[in-house]
Amino acid sequence: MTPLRPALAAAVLLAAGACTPAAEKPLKPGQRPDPSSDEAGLWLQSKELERKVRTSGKIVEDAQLTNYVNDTLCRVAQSYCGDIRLYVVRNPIPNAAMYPHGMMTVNTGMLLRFSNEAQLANVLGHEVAHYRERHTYSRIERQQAAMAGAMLSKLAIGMAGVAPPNQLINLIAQGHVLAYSRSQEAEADRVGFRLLKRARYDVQEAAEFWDTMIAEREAADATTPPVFLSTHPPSKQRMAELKELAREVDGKHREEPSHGQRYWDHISPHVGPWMDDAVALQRWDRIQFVLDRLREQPVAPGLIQFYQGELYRGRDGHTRDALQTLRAACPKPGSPTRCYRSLGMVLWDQGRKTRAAEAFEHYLDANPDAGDEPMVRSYIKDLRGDDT
Amino acid sequence: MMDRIRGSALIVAGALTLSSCAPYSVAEPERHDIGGAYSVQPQTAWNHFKRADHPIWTKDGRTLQALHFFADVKDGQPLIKVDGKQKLPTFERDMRATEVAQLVADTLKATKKNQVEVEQVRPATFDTHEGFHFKMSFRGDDGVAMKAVAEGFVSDKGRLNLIYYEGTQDYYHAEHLEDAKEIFRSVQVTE
Amino acid sequence: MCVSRIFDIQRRDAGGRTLSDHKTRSLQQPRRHAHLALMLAIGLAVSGCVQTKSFTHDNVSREDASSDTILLMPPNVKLYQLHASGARDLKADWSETARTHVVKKLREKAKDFDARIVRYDTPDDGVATIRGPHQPAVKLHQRVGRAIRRHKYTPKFALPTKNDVFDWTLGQTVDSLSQEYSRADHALFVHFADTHSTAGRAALIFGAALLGVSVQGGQQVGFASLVDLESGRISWFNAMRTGFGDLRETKGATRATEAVLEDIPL
Repeated sequence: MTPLRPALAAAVLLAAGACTPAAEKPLKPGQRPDPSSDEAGLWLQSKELERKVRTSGKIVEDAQLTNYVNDTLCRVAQSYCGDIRLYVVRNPIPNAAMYPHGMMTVNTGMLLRFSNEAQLANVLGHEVAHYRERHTYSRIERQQAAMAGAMLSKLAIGMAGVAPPNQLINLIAQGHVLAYSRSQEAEADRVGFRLLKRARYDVQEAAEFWDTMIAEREAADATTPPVFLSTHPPSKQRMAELKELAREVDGKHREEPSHGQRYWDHISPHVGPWMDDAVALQRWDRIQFVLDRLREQPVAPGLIQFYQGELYRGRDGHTRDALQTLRAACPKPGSPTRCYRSLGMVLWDQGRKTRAAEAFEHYLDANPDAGDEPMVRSYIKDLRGDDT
Repeated sequence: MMDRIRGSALIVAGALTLSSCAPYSVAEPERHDIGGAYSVQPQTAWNHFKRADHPIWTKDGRTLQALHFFADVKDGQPLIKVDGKQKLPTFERDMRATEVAQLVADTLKATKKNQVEVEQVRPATFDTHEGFHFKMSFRGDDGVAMKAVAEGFVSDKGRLNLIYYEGTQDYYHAEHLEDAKEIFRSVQVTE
Repeated sequence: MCVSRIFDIQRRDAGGRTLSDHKTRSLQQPRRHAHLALMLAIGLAVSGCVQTKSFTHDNVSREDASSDTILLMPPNVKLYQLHASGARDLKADWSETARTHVVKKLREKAKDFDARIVRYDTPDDGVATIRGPHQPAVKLHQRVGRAIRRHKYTPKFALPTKNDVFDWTLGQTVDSLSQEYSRADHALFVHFADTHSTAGRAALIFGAALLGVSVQGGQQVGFASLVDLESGRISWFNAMRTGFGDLRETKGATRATEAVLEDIPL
């Protein structure tokens, strides 16, 4: 009797894990899944997540910015515009994500890395393609089927235990990588490309953008794997296809605009706070990469130079560079007044007490209501007090 | 069936006697040594959470209010330990008060808090030592508004000692702020 | 006799003897009985296999209420399908059906208590369930509710200074609710989560049983909290857990709602 049971058990276990998701047709604009379907359950879970995201405090609510980004979305998404709810999330890590039920998130770190509106439109279109083609739903279903297999094999070895009921959609939101497959990425590229072209953007910018992301990954140290490239794995084949698609675009569609100035008109006012977020994370090589690219954009040079100074200040062994850079940056238009506070710190580190006190005084003159005014006053007192 | 329930009851009984493993113990109103660096004396009893890498006290639950004690933080060390590959900002021995406040703000940002603002930094004494006091505000991952206040100093040896009190902006921060301030006032640096 | 969906199968060792012959074995493998142990560890009055335990605010007397008006916050009712993998899928149609049943039962129960129900006015944007000005109260309630469940329902995590104390509150965040719903004395929050096994998981449970391993089936948890809209205090809190019942059916919804509102001070 005993030898027969394991065989029967194994047969039952295998039958339990047999289901695989059927291929789905693309979503039509305004289409909703059947309420009894697994997809509807996933939409409901995603809606829960959306509620959390909306009220998390992390959403950028500036109307000028959000209107601009939404206008770009609608230009590229066209009939799908009403199905997508786009949220700009305050996070220095460059990422964009599409959720099955129509929520899209774009991180401020990503917005800092687009050169122009065409590149923004390209990513938005690419994500809309993922939505239309139901890629997130199918990759979750596939993952679940895979997990069932893993669970079963665990049991077969005799380990008891229940896998924690982690909802995959929450895992994705927490940044756990659930990569789109190669074929899904290729499909999103093709559909996204069509949307970009139809919206009258310079289609060369699609490949440009991916090239930049890959270049950053190469420039940055390996301990900080890029989330966006992990969920949207680039491959030589994809890049080649994108370039080929661009080449095939006929004469009348070449020379479409990329709208760089318009993009930076809307993004520039936010560069400061978004760079502060990046500096807080201290991923210095990525910050350097971003600064090098921001220099080529219509952003106030004083602001860029201030952050270059902060970067030097944050990295070891760059005190002299920090001093030179901040000294040059602080008087320039666009440089924030706390540049003088940073300058004061560096001068103090170098023992230049009088100059440091002057820098701090300049900071306080420009910021009389600064929260750290009492402390900076005390710095000045210390510095001047030692004057003989 | 009865055998199985009896078996489970044994487990329960076993679990209950293992209360020494319980994560919360009482911090009585008496003097408490903190990492050999300083000591504090609360006026009222707190609940001491033992499972973190530094002492954490709470009255109503750590997500409602929490008092964190950092002692002897060395050059190159982050304030807290987190799982995974996440890199946290580190303390540097030559940090000044405004930079320590920024360190705390950056640590909050790195642990998913948002809208982090340093609201005030001023000189203060930590026992007889020159130190600082700062106030911050931020929002939790769930969007709940929080307030924090901290006092500390960097020792001659370049080590950071900091007491940090945070709580929900609505009700729980204010509720035990006086208790927290009394703890700040009671501090004695261990020489 | 209590019908349970928690499949606890007789286990056999290599020699074919049942577990009852080896009581010590279960102590070494507590995880296999974890679900049962947890239920017992909640330290509860077992009434038919539904375990509940409630708390009342230290400063609230049960005689307080005469005829109350209760603001019913949008009940949070989620029904899941538990897969063979252990992952849970939220079921949209099941949840909607269950929610409708629960709301109906809540209205009926309110009549029993001679209380009036005022429904919270949810926004109609298709996503949000709580309006902006009320978010701080609801979010604080989420944190407070979690703290209560952690520190009052799991003996291991008890806060020593609050052993005989139950004094949680939402403070003045409730003002936004009491101003808009001025007739209401209390707000009632109700939350249910119910998991049902898929055929695959049921098969898995059966198959696992043949291998001599126990795997958890579905279960139902619920809690309710009554918030005083004047003071913000959590006047009453109740949590329940059971291994059976189906919120998609009237009978299941009735039983669950009654359990979760057991000894509510109205």
